[in-house]
Amino acid sequence: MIKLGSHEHPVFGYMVYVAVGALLTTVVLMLCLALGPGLPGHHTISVGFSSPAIMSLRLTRVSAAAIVGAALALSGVLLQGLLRNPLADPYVLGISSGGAVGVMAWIVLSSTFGATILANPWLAQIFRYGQTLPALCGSLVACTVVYFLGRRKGQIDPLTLLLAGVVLGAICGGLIMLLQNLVPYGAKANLLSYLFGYISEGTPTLVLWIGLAVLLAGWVMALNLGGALNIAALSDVEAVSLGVRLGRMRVLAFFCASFLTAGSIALAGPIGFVGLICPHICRMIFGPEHRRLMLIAPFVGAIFLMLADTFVRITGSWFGGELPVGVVTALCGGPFFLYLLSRRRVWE
Amino acid sequence: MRPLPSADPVNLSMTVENISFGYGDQPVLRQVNAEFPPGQVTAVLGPNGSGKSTLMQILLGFLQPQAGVVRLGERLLTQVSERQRATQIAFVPQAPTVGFSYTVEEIILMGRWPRRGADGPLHAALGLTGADDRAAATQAMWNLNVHHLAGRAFGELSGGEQQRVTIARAIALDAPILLLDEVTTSLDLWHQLEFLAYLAELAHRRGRCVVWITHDLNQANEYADRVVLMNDGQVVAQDAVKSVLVPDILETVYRVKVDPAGKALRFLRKSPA
Repeated sequence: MIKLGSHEHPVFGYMVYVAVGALLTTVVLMLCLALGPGLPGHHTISVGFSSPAIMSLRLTRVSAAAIVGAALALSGVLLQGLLRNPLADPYVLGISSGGAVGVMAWIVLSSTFGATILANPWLAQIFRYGQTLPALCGSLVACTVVYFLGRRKGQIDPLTLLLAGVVLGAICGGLIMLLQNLVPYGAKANLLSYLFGYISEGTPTLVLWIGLAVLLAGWVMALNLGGALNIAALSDVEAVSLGVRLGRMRVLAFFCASFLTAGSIALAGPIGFVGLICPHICRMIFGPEHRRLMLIAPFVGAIFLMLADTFVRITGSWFGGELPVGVVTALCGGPFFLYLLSRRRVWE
Repeated sequence: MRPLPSADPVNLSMTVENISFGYGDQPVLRQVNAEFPPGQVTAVLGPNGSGKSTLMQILLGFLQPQAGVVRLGERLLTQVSERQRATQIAFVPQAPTVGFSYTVEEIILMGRWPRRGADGPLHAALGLTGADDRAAATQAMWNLNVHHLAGRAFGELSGGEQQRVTIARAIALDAPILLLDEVTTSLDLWHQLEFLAYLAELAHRRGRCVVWITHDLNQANEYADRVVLMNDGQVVAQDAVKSVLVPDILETVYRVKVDPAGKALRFLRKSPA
């Protein structure tokens, strides 16, 4: 286990983590900005900082990747702590399936009533943001449903919450298949890439700023919950005896994690593995203390997703079109995680 | 174990008045009245399922009684804030559970959580421990003989070591009231006797109110001052040890034959060299 900073001064120690994390993230961000195809989807790969137009496109996409990666990793730390389960990830609560149903319903609606929608200025304005809003609405509806199903005696119960999430995810899976039959043939490719997660240069700047604001707010809130989450790793009786208001803490942690996940789904669709493995890797290296994890894991998540998305951008021409970034996180992150798993018992 | 300073006795008692509790229509506690005075070790005895642990969970505010009141000193427990209650009452569970691989030191510092944030606003916002907390944790680790385990992962320890760490977590809080639920079950004999002597010292010399659930009548006889004897959700008897642990009462409650002439196996503490 690696511990930076002095034991006698925990605040200073935490600041060291943040400084190192921010520095590494900046370095990777610059690297990712400097790499990429000359034009989006183009065959030639340019290295270095080229024309402002291209840099602006790359900046949008790389920062979207950083925000989504950080939000997913933070959400993973919160959910694994809340559910006391190292297998939990941001999608175990059915939030992503909810988002997918939202997007699916939107595609069905827009392909059926497209003309009517565009005629109405209000609806047209909303639909300008593409899949962002339907994904956000679907995710939020799903997490609200899971919240109300996951309670016992008026309080969130980790096991009930987990079961409710898994079952809602399965129901949404059925709905997705049902709606898929209604989607016209031409829109199906669009849909498939959404289901694996895709970060776009076309992300509106406003959406990026909102995503960043959600991430920062979630970060502050998570850090405030970190100490209580540590104690909630003990039994409920012990946590209550130490003065932790378990009910309140769990509601806050659940909604904090849900908003972070919903935000990242709205930005990029459901990207798997980041929220599962980043908290794990950090826990193996830095120990299970939640405040420390919350300070480091978002940087690790941001770096991981920026690198994965840059790989996607560079290799776009090799695969006859860009891969969904979720494919890369699964194919690179998964085996790496299994390798770590074989070296160390992560369940402890 | 280090001797305790005899200073600062605190006088805080706990009382329960007419409390009843049940799961569904299955009553667990019926009209229980009991007093836990400061400066004494009160053993809570009774057969399995007599309601001892439920009573303890009500004392520490985890369960709410369906009728009756719990008092912390003069105040109603329901009128004390969570944080205040947590600084006054320390609890040691029967079987410690810890998710994730926290180190022994981190676990013991968790015991100081109710007193967190004393070192400044940033410490308060993040709920961080300060210098006092670390000093108390170190002291508690020495007292429970777990200082050499400080950097180890809790999950790698033996059952008895885990139990000592959990006790040290409660001791580190230095609360006026100490609730212990069958905490000596996996300790070896030496540690059992050391710890029970330490408990008696905490009560007698520092005025702590110690509530101790146990099944060991011999040890209760030796180390407790008072006994609250429970059976079937009710208090059968509560008084000084000598007047409760008598064959008549024990035979009815435990459905066993007590031989007053027979000597129990007795273990004595070695006098410190």
